[in-house]
Amino acid sequence: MPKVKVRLYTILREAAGTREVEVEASTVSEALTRLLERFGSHLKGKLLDEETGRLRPFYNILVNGRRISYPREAQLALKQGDILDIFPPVGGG
Amino acid sequence: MRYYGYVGKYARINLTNGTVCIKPTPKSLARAFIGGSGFAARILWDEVGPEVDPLSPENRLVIATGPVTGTAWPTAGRYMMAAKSPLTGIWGESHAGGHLGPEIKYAGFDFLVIEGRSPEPVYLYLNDGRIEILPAGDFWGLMVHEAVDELKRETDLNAHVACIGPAGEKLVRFAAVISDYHRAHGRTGMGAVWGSKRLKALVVRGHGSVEVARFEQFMEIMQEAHQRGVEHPQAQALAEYGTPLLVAYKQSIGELPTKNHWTGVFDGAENLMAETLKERYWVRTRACFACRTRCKKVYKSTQEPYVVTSEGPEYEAIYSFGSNLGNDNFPSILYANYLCNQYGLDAISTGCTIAFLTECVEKGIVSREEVDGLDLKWGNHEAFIELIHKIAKREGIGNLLAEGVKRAAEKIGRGAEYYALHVKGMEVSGQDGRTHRSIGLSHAVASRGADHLRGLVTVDQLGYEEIAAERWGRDKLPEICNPYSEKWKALAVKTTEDVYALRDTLIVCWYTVSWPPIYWVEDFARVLPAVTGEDAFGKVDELLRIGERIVNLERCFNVREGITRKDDRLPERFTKEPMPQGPGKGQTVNLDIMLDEYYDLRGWDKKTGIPKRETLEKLQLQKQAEELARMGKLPT
Ligand code: SF4
Repeated sequence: MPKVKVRLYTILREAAGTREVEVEASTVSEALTRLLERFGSHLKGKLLDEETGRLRPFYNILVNGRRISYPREAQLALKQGDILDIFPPVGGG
Repeated sequence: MRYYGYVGKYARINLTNGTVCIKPTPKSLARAFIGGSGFAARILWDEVGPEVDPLSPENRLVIATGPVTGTAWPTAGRYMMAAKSPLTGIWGESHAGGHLGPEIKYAGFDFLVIEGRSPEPVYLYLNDGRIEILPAGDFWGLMVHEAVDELKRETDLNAHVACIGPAGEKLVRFAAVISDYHRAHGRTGMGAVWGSKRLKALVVRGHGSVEVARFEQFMEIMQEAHQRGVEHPQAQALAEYGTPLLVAYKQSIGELPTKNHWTGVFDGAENLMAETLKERYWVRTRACFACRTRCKKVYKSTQEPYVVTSEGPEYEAIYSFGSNLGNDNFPSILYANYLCNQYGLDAISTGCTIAFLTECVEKGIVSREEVDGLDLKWGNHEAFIELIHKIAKREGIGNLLAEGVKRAAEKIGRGAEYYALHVKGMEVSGQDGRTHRSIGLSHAVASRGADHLRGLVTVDQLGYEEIAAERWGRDKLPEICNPYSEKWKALAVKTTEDVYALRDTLIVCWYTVSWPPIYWVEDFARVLPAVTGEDAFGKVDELLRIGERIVNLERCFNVREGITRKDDRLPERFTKEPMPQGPGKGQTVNLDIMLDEYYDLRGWDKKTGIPKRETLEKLQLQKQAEELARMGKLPT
C-alpha cells in the first residue's frame, strides 16, 4: 500500500492539531477514510457535510499540486510519496 | 426628480485659484454609469486628453462614491479615486475601504472633481455641505499617522482622513493615498497626483444620511445579504484568517510568485502562511464600514528591529515583501507594510521594484556600488527596508526606483528590461499566468496595467465546477477550470471584468465579489433598484451592459493615449520562460490565442485591439467613436 503525505490547512489543521500526516492509501477516498479514522469525529465535522456526508462546500483537494474534482475523482490512484493537500475555503487572488 | 441613494450633489474644486463650485449630480450620469468608476471614466474621458501630463495641474482627480456607499448594504464602505496615472500614463484608479467613503456622502457629496495645483500645500475639509481649502504647510512632510492625528486635532476628532505621506509629496510614481490610517489606495500612483496638486489630505465629517427608495425591501434583502456575509464558507475563512489564506494554497499550486516571479514555489512559505500568522502574530480582527466579513487582521511583532503592531499585510504585500524577495521573515514584512502605509507607498509596486533591482544585482547587471553599497540579495530584509526609506525619500538609488520598474529599467539598460516585470508600466501583482492561465490574459488587458482587481478570474485557480457550469455553461467544463489551458479563459475574463466594473460603481468590496462569489451581479440587480428607485437597474442584462460600457470607455481613454494590441503584452518571463519548479513545471502562457478570442468577444479589432465603431455605438459611446475616428484611430 503506498504511503502518502496528507497536508491540512486552516481549520482542519487546528482540528487535527497537526499540519501533516502520513497515511497508507491507494486512492484519494481511502486517504480520507484513513484520516477520519485517525482524527475521529472532530475532524469529520470540519471535513464532511453532516447531512450529505460529502466534502463540505468549497473545499479543495489537490494531488501533487493539481486540483482534483471530488467526488468524481475519489478513486484516483495514489502512488508512493504523493502529496495530498486538503484546503478549506480560500478566497481567490 | 433625483434618484435616491445619491445625495444629489458634487463639487468641483480648483486648487489653482482656490474655488469650490457645488452642483447637482446629473441624473443622466447616474443612469448611464451608476457611480464610482463609471463616473470617473466619463469625467476623465471628457476632461483629460492625451496632451495632459499626469503630474500637471491639468490632470483631474476624481474622488467618488456610489449609490450604495454609506447604506447598510454589506461592504458599502468603499470609495475610489481616479486620474491619469503618473506610473503608466494611462487609466489610473484605486479603491479603499474603511469608513471615509460613507462620510463623504454624510457630508453631502456624491463625488469631487479636483483640478489645478495649489501654490501652497493645502487640505480639503468637507464638513456638512461645506468645503474649505485650508493650509497644510504644518503637515507637509509628516508621516501619514502623525499627519492624520494632527489634522483630526485641528478639525474634528471624529473626522475621517485620507492623506498622503512623504512619498506622495516627493512624487514617487507609485505613491499611495492612505485612508483611515491603514487602507491604501495603492495602485497607479494616486498619491503622486495628490502631491503634484499640493493636496496633503482630505478630511471629512458629516452628519447627513443616505436615503433609500424602497426601505422595507432594502431592509429585507440587506439583512439576508449580511447573513451570507457571515455564513458563507468563504466569508468564514476570511473572518478567521484574512487574505493571507491564499499563501498556502498558492504555494501548493505553484503560484506563489518568488524571487521576482522567477518561480511559483517558495521554500520559506510555511512562515508566511495564515495559519502561522494567526498563531504567532495575530492580535485582533477589524472590519470596514457595514462589513460583517471582517477580513482585516492586526498583527504584532516584538522582534527587533521590527517591533510594530499594525493592520495587514494583505496577501499581496506578503507576496511582494515576502516570497517575491525570497524573504520568509514575517516581522520584516509586517514592518515593510507599516512603512508603506506611513510613507504612503503602494506595497505591491514597492516590493516589485526592489525585487527587480535585486535580480539585476544577482544577474550582474547592476553593481553593488550602484545600489549605494547595499548587500542586495534574496532574503536580506535589512537591505529591503533600507530601500523603502530611500524610495520614499527619493534618496540615492531610491530616486531611480521611485520611477517604477519600467522607467528604471530603461535608464539602466544592459538587459535590465527583461527583469522589469510590468504591464503598461504597472508592476505585476501576486499572480502568475503560467500556473493560472486566466490571470495572464487579465494582466495583459486590464485598463490599469498588470492588475488583479479589475479582471481577476479564479475559476481555473480554485475550481468549483458547479458554479462555473451555472455561470458559463456545462459545455465549458472541464477546460474553463483547467489552470494550464487557454481555452474559455477569454470568456471568463470578459464577463468577470464587466461584473467587476459594475461592482466598482456601487461601490462594494471586491473580496466578497470574487470566487466563490458571496455576492454577484444578481445581488446588484436586487439592491440597486431598492436603493435608487430606478427599475432599469433591476435587470441583469442592463447592468452588465453598463459594466461593459465602463470597460470600453476606459479602453477608449487608453486608446486615445496610444494603447493598442502591441501594449497588451506580458513580460517574457511568463510567455517564454517555462515555470522552473512545482506542479506547473514547464508551463508558459500562450497569450495570443486568448487575446484573439478576447477581442472578438469584446467587439474590438483583432489587429489593433481598438473597439470597433459598432461596439461603441451599441454601448452609447458614439462621442468616443467620433473622437477616435477624428484621431484616425478607429478601425475601418
Ligand atoms: S471584506 Fe474585508 S476589505 Fe472587504 S469590506 Fe469587509 S473588512 Fe473591508
